[in-house]
Amino acid sequence: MTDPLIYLVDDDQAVAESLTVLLESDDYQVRVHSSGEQFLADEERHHASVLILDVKLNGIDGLELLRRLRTEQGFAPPVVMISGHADGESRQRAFDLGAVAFLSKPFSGDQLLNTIQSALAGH
Amino acid sequence: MNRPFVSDDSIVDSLYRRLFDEAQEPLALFQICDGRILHANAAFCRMLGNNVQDVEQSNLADLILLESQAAADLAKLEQESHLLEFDARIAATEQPLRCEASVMVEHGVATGLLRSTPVRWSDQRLRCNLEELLNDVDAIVWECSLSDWRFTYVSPKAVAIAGYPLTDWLTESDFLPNIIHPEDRQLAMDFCRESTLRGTDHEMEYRMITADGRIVWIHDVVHVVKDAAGRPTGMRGVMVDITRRRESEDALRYSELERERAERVGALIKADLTPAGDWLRPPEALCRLLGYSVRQLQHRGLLELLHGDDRESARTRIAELLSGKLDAFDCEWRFLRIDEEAVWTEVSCTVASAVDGTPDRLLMYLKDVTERKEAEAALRRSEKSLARAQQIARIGTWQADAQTGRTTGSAETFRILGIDGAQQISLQQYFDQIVHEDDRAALQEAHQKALQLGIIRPMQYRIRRQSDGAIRHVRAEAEFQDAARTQQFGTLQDITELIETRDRLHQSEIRYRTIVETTQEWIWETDDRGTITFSNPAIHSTLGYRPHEVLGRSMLEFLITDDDPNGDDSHQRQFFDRRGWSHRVLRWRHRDGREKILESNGLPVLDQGSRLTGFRGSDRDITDRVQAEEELRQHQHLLAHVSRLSTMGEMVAGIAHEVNQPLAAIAAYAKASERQLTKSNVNEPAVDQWLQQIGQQAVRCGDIIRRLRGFVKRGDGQRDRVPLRDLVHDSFSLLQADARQQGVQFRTDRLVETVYVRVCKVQVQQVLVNLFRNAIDALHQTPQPQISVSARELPDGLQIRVRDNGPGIEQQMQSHLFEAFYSTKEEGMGMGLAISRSIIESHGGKLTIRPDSKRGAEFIIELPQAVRHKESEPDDGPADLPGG
Repeated sequence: MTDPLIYLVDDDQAVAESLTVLLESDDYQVRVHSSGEQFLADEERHHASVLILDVKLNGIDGLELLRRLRTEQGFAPPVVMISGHADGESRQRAFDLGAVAFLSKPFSGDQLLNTIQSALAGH
Repeated sequence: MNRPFVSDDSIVDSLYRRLFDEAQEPLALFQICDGRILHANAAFCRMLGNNVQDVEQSNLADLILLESQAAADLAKLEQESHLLEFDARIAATEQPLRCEASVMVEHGVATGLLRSTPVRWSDQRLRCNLEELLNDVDAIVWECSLSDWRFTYVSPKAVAIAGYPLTDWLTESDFLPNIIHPEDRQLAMDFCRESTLRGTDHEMEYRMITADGRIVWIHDVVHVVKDAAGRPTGMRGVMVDITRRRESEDALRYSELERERAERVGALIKADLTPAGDWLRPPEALCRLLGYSVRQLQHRGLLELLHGDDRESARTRIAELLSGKLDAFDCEWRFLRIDEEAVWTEVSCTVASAVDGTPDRLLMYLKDVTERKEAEAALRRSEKSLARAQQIARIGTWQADAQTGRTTGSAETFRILGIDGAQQISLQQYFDQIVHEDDRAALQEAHQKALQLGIIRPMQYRIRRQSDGAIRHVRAEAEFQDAARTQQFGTLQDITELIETRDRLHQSEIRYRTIVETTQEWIWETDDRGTITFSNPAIHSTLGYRPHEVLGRSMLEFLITDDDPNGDDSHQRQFFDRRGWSHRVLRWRHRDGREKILESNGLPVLDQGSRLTGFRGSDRDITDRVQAEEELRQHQHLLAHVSRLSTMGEMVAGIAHEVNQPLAAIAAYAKASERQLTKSNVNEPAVDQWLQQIGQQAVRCGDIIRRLRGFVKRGDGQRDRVPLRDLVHDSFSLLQADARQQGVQFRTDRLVETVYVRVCKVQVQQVLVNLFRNAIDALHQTPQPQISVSARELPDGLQIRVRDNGPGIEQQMQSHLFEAFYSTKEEGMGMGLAISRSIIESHGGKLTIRPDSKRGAEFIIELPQAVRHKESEPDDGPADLPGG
């Protein structure tokens, strides 16, 4: 069985790289996009096991992207929202749109790995 | 012992001569010297029975045989003047003779009067004869007693000379003093009395006033009669009428004066010249006039002596004279004195011809008229000055003659009337044409009244100026020149400007009075000690007093002073600055005890000697303004405080996101490292633990920021439903002072004025203040600066646009504008827009800049949950509000 494929959309390069390193160390395949638009342009996005999505993005932001994926594209994989600017409203909205988890930056590596595992298990 | 005629006066001499020669019998008169008869009259000769030839040159002793005693007396005859009586016989006839002789001795010559019969002075016959004699001369012979100073004898000639009856002379005491001319009286009488009492014979001249009022000059010769002891007892004398002599003397003196004057003023100088114009004999008077010697003048012909300008005229005239074209000419030439000074000369010239008819000399009469010429020139100058003076003073002079009905006037008078060039006008014409119709009746009435009373009052009336028909105000003053009130001399003054100025002054006085009475500013005047001497009604609205209640009270009474006063003087010095003061803000006590704040302006009032006499000024009640400013200041203070408080939090909010990213990366890398060590079977428990710590500390760091944000969020305050209008205008009013200074116009549209929003008022206000602040700063050099705020409804909220017409924001700057610590201003922190964006975002909204903000900057605030006012109108057309 192949390693689960995790899609990461975050426009902060340092965050994207560090999470990639962490996830790959736990044997996940990681594919990174720096914007919502780029992710939407990825034909294989539907093969994602989990999508990690940053709330604040240039262009289409995370919540908007989530809304579109859920409402317009029937995107099924579990979505974990991460945010450096978490507030109650965003969190609520994320869950309303079907996010499985909402992590506020900074979060521990275990926290992320546990969340991914749960998301995969739940799926 | 008596000497009837004693005088060396020539006039008495001549009188005496006449007496001598013309004496009638039996008054025998003689003169002897050394005993020889020098002269004897016919009566004398007859008395002695001889003819004149026989008598003269004979010895008296040979002619008259004397007794021994008589001879001795006679021997004394020539020694002194005296009167003697003696008996004798006439030698020729042996006829006994009773003789009475009166002798006067002068220069050794005895002149005597001899009577052959024994007679006394009082003898009637002698008296008659003497009176007959004395009647022939213009003299009054008189005798006066010293006991009562009364005349005892006055010869009848007195009547002819003085006109008073003889009885007046003899009966009235002090008769003489009364008829002496008052100017001579005191001196003559004092002199006479003094001399007489001293026993001195004397003479005097005085004027006597005759009975018919004429003045007669009298020469009075007075002899003092003494008794045996030599004491004066009476006087005898002769008053000779010398009026004619005096008159001739006066005439002579007068003619001498005339001559002197004539010489002085330069009388007619006669000069003869050759036809060529050389002097035949240079007149001395001309030499004197021109300052040349006769010799010098000899060599200078007429033309040479004349002023250059007069030479041609002289040459022509003389030529005409010589050619027979003229018989004579009169002209005025200037001669040049030796010192080159011109002498104006009146010249009259004719020509004399020789026997053959050819002109052979010029007869010329010259007269120095320099003084007259100079007087004429001076007169012309003074007339010119007068005319100029009239022109300057705008006062003309005029003369009216009621008999001819004509008025003449100076040039200025006619200039005032607008009929330049005229010199006279009829009174009727003046009244009918020139005097304004409304003033005509009054003026004519005044004119009639003046004629009745003889007093002309100054009149002020209007005229129609003839040159342009303008109505001018004039003032005329005049007085009568004669008792008949036919001649008037007067002045005419154009006082139009004066009246207009006075009217303007009056108007301006009304205007200023109205202003002073109605203005809200307290206008006051004090004396130099600060005592109020004037107050306008505004003091009532200012300090609650009526003007009359404060008059006489010191300004300082109403002033509130904080510190313990060092006496009134220090206040006075502080308040009443000699140089005046402006915009001095002082606290005053209102009548009801309230404190009022007035802005005071004062100026010193100086008299003409620059002495301070008081102060004048105005005070404005700025209590409300000061309070409003205070409130505003407090509001600003509060806002600044809130701003400071939230800045920290917002700064954290603004950077939290940025910091959380690297923290997240750190945590992830730490965990990844940990796992990598495990994978690689590296057993380094310490490193493993450190990596765990890195991850935990990163998360802890995130927690700290989260807590801080949480704390700030608690300070966000409540969100209320507020009118956008209040938010916008209150924010702008905080910057009003700067906006006004730059003349920024502030506009909002209708929706801004009507819509409600649910926001934290203080925070959003801070955003707006920040945007307005930036806009005002950007408009610093923009002509007609403008800031406008408009609103537009969105499906899920409200969009508010804040726009200015400044230079705009360059493209590359736009992307950095909202970054923290980014600023285009030298003193800016670079936090304003970052915080503003945080605030708007914390409201769930967005703060962006319109990308093409080149022509002015435009910031866009999007707020969710905007609330429309239920009564608001649809958004159309902007509502202008003044920004300055």
